[in-house]
Amino acid sequence: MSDGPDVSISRGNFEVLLPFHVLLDTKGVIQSAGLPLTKLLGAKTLIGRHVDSVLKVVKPRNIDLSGGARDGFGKRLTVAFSALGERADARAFGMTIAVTVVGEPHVLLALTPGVNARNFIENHGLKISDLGPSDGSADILPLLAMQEEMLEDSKRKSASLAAARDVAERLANHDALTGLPNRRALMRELKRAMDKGTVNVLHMDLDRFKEINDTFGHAAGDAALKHAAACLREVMGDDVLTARLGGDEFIAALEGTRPDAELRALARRLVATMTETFEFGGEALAVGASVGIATKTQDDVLSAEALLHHADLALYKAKRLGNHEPVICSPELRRAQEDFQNLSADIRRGLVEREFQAHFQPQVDARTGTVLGAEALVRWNHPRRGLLAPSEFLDAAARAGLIRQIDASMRRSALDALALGDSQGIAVPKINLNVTIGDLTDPEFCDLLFWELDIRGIEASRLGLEIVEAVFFDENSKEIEQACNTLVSEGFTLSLDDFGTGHASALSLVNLPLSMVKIDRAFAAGVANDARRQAMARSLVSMATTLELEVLAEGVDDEADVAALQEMGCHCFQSFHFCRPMPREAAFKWMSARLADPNTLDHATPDQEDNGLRMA
Amino acid sequence: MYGLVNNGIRTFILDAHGEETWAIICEKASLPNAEFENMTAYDDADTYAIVSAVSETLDLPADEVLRVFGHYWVGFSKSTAIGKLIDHGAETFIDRIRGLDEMHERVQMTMPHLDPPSFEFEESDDGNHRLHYISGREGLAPMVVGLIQGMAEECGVSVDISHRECRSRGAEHDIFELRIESGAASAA
Repeated sequence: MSDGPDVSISRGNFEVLLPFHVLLDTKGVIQSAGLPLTKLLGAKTLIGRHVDSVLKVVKPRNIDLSGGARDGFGKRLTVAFSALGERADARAFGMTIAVTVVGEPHVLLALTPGVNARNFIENHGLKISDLGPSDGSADILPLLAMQEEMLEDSKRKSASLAAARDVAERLANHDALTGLPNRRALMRELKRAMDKGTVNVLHMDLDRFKEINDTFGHAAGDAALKHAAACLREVMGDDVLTARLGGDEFIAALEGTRPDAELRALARRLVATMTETFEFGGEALAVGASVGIATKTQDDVLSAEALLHHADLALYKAKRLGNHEPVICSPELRRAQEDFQNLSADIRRGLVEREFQAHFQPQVDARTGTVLGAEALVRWNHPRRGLLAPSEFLDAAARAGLIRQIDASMRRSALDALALGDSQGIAVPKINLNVTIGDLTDPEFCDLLFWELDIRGIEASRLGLEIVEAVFFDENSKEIEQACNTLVSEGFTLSLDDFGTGHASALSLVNLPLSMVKIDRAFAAGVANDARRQAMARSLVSMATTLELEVLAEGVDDEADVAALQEMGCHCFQSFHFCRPMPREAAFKWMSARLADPNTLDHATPDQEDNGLRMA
Repeated sequence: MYGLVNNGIRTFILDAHGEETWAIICEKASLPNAEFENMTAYDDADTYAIVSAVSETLDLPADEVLRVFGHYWVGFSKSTAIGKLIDHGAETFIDRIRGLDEMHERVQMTMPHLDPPSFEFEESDDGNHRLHYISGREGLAPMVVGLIQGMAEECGVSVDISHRECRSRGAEHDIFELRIESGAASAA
């Protein structure tokens, strides 16, 4: 039923409206087809042939066109052309309609290439003008083209993101220089391995790495690190987790229970491989290595960080021993570490509480009994442990990097004492302080001294600086020489401490602006009765006096030794024989009396410090 | 500008001058390691900066760079799905010019934010055909000249191009007069 009139349409308009049509009689024989289809499939393939031999309905599956196609009326069909094969992009879409042609009932199969238009154009020789202007197939083409472009864009973007992710992941987990896993990856894998069972960690650190960096440049340092990584891989193999922890530190983590002997042997092999030379810029360079070992058994409750820390403790000890022998972390080592941590924390507390104080040991000229001054010596007035000698804490302080703070504290204490003495009318001629290599190479050290003297109103000439002879062995001697010249030009006096025991060349006696050398107790004590000591002491005194330097002997506890040294030309002394180190009040009292009358006191000295002093 | 155009310039430089030159151009254009998605809209300033950097690097006037690139684009676009639309069903030079417009028109319908240009072709019986190039962007008319030359070359015709109206000289839009000298211009 239709409300409108019956429509008649010319063949030409019909072609324009439905270029992809197929007209069937009621028996399914093709009567005519649109021009593009004829172009596509050939007129002979179409006209007069039964529709079943030309095309078939792919979807819905139950539609049969052979019986007049009535069951397809009004439904969307997908058809495949036999001549074009079964490819999805060679199919067309449409529906069947009952029509009347010259009074006879027919079935019209109205098709369109739809989304397959591009395939018909690009691969089957049709043109855009072959597509019906009203069915919208042509409009699908740009949409599909843009979709394809966007899919390509998206694929490219995905590939580039995936590549960037891979690079980022590699960078995040590997050390760029050596290619080994980095700390982040190590910690992750180490934790995984520790969850499974026993893990042994070998912590390797390069020896002389800084030297290579400083001497040959950072590129050589990089070559050394690459050499180390290659050695680690070679010795450990592919199945062992290896990593660069940072700097010149490397880790190998071995899973499973291993005897100490096996771990030691492996570490020795690693060190031996490491010490083989590697080439850099045509030169054969070599580095050494130290290894610390720690184990976490399945029963131990230990974090990955703690395991590495244990290995680090062992490494530290191996480094200190310096014999390239691997060290395995033991309970004793861990206890020693705990002791060190407690002591360094106590030192820090003591610094805050100003417990580090200067004690003083006077220096006298034996010819006249004159007090020349006093050497300030550090003591720790510990609230619980009593008065502590340097041997009780200096090693730990050095390891904890606290020496300079202790020196500064002691210096303040010494200068305060000098200023207080002045205010009390006890004019101690001079206080001598020890200086370290760190002080001498610190460009601000001289200014700091001046500031500390200025605020107390003390002249620079009343401060003597004692340099331990060993510092001159350092290759920075030029820098030290310059610093010494500056200090002397500013009014300070310089002494060379422990003369004879260190490594200073005779030349340093000539080059440095020294006023005095202090002969070490090793040569002075017992000199009266030991011909070899006598010969040595005589040479040292002679060398110094030839250079017009004052000579002071330390550690002389015997009158005969004093006499023997005086006979050689050494008249100044700092020793228990004259006076032990004492706290400020006692020392200043002693010096005050002797300054008033050098001949009034004999050699008997107060003994206050020794009463409570703890020595290591 | 949609990335397809920028990518065309990139491919042209990579093909003709290599990666090093492209890196120099990107550096000059302040677009380090520039890569573009074909159907993404980029700031027009990027395109102008690239053209300017190419001009400086190759020591060619910017107009000449655009003309050469327009010529190159004809071949380049065939490798892209969107570019292929120009050729769909086109047999003659005039078919292609119309295809160029249709392609842009359809891009405009679907992705208006790309702001594509319009190419209106007026066929004339006296052979002096007119091509109206209407674009929201300035200074790209030389690229149109290159495009026309490239398409003419593909179709085996020779075409004489006169730039009759010029937007950069105050005209409302650019108008080119095309006189096809030889070969089959239209299926007619």
